[in-house]
Amino acid sequence: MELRGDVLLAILGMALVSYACRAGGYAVLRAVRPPPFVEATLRHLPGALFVAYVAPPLVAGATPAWIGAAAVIGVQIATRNLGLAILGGIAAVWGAQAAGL
Amino acid sequence: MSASPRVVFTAAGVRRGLRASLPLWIGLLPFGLVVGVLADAKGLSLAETVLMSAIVYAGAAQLLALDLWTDPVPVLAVIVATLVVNIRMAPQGAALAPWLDRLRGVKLWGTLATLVDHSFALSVGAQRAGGRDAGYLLGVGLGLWIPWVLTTAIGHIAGAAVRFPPGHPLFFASLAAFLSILVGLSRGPDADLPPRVVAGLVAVAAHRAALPVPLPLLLGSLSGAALGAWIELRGRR
Repeated sequence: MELRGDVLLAILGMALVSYACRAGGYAVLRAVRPPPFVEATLRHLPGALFVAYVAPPLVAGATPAWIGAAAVIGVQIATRNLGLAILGGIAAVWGAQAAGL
Repeated sequence: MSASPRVVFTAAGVRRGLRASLPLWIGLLPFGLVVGVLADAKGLSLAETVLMSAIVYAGAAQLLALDLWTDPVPVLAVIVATLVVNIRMAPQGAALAPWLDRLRGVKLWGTLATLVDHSFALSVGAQRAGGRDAGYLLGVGLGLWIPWVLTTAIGHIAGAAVRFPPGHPLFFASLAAFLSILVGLSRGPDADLPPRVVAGLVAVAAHRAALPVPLPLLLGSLSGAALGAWIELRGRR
């Protein structure tokens, strides 16, 4: 049961900011209404964030990554199930790699 | 007595929330396994993995942080990445104010600690349907916390036993998870397109410029979100 200092610090920091988002958001946003621009930016942040995350590896990625991405999007649209979409993507990458793409 | 509906917090409400979380376990299972396998691949011990799942309890944030993980840990980078992913929960807490405003002390601040996307979505639905039992929110949050900690632990143990090599298709899972969340978020083809294209382009450019993590992510998401806000507010005038 190993717990290292830097790892512990990172995990505690992650927990702290997560709780600040959960509880602090409620505590602050019910007391003060942020400017409309800040509110709108918060609304648009999740979508922009997930694109910013997937774009660099996809642009740099080989054919299997693109086949996998297409499979994820297809399964997600068809089933609306996160777990199935992840499994479908892994299976597609697996197949593409096995086919030597 | 006043005619306005009284918000309560009962054990029955918590139990109803726990039951409502059960069908969601299936979707959570692969996600948790993948986070556990990735944690093992990045050199986290089982205790560290379980601790992270137990007290951070945010799948997308954990996945992203583990992606940035090296030895020694870039502590500031993973904390900033977690903050950026989880800031979406701030407006969620505020949206649940009709229930939360009636709670005090540990019931309020403890329930908020369990807030996740699914408990938010189900509770907003319950609220709109006239639900008055805030215990439901805690029940769903707790009901998903248990399989989350369990599946990440199982993933870590499996990863340690099998030792997946780097480049294994399994590691495509983080990309897959974020792509499918993105598809789930999309409302229409045109409304979100400009902010997302800009987010992607800025992230790729920052990545090419070899800016340190999590700057490409941060610059991409903030510029995209700011553009989205600008377009939205301009359209209102």
